[in-house]
Amino acid sequence: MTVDKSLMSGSTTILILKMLEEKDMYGYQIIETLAQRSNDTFNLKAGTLYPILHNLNKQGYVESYEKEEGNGKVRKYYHLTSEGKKLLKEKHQEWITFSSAVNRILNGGVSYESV
Amino acid sequence: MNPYDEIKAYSKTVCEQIRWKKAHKVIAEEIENHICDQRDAYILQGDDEITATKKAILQMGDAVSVGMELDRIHRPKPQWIMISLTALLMLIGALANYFIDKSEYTLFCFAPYIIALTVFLICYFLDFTVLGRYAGYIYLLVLAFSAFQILLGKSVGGRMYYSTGRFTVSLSYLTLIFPLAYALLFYSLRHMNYKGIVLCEIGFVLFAVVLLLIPSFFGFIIFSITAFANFYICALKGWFGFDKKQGLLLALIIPISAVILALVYIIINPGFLTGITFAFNPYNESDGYGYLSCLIRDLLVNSKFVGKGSVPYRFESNIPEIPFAKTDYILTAITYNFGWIAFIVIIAVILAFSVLGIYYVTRQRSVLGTLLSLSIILTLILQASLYIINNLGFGIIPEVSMPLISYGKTALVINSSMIGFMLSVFRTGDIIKDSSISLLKPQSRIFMKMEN
Repeated sequence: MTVDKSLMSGSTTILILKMLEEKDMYGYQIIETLAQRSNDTFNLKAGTLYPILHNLNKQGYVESYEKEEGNGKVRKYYHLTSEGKKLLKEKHQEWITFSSAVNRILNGGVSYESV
Repeated sequence: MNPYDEIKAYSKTVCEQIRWKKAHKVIAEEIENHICDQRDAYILQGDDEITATKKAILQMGDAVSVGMELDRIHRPKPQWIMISLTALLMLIGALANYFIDKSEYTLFCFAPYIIALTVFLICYFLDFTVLGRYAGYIYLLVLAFSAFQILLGKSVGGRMYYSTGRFTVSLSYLTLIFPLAYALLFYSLRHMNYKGIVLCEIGFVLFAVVLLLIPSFFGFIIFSITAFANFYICALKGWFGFDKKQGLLLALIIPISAVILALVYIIINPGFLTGITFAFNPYNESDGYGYLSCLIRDLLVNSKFVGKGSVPYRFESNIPEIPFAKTDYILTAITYNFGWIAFIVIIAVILAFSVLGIYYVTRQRSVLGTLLSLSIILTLILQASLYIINNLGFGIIPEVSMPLISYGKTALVINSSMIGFMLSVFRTGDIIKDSSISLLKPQSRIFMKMEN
């Protein structure tokens, strides 16, 4: 099922941070992993990913480094910093509050947890 | 159009939207790599190269929008506060030199500061990676130039100067550039593993010997501490290719060799220890060795919070003159003539500059940016600290300048250029990649000959 893009725009940063929490990844790898984990629900465009990644890098939430792969190709990997981990925690909490509120309304006043 | 050219055309369109040209190379490389990865994935799924490339480019999104987004993120970071503090220190220096010695100076005393400001601006706007490109050459050039000057220089009042025509260069001030040159040597040798460590040690000893021959013992201390800091950071970040513990152990060769060289120097120059003894008890010989320190202490005791201080009791009605006030005791002279408030303001400016400098050094990502900015900020901080200690009446012969404030054209120009380079690192360091700096390595061959 395809999802309205506007629904995804607010959660892209948290999804990228979550991917990087598990391991350091390069841009293409983030998009692929995200698509696989979400059964192709989240098909992030590279043009959306890189500005977000570069902005996170600028703000110190992620760091980048280059690594040479076996085939001689040099890739730019991103690593979640301790500030990035804190941001992920905050965003996660924010998301729980937001999604529970949305669900409460959609379920006619019944909270998500009790459904 | 050839499929690869299409990829290039896409990244070019993206980069055309980004005003900061320095960022183009890094961004284009990442985008092209991404498209190639995506293209390869489509080829594996059965597409031919042309179709795969077209689909991969389509997946990227609109090049102009992507470029505009990246343009908003990638901008140089001029450190306005540090630039203002630099200008303020220069202004304090020019005014202090003018008011302290009006007899000798007219408005022409501002000329060296205009030159220093020009040098600062040139270095600030210069691409600092040029230093990384010629790292080995710069080290050898500085070494050869200093050795040449030691051979031809003359000692005046315990300090060595080299004169040619109307120009006179103070060698103890010239050595302020050693930590920077040594950081460049570090940078150029960082991939050489054990051989790199051996060459770094040789490089350290050569500079240290030059400093002790001048002699500039406090220049030697500044250089040794900065060299150790560089080595320590390299070891900590694994830039020498060793694990952290092994690297940190190897870093100890710098302090060990510095202590050995210092001991040799003290044994050869026993008078140095006497000087240190009088630094703490100058009143034991207030008319001889400790005269200057006693004078400084008396003047400071009689300094007011605001305004000119009173004449110390032992001088009766004769206002004492501080020898070498502009070069070695400008802080004491400022404090005595204008009050402790002026001293506090200068220290506050230096402190703010140092704290901000250290903060921005820790934010650097590239090896070159880190080593350059670290060696420069440490040289400035240690210089200022030694100068302040001396100006508080602990009679150590300074051999160093108060950055941008005390008189000395060589030191003024060297400090201004170093600050220019440091702020250039802070301005553009974010986007610098060490791998994009093609290194010329003259030092390897020369040092190997020396080893043999």
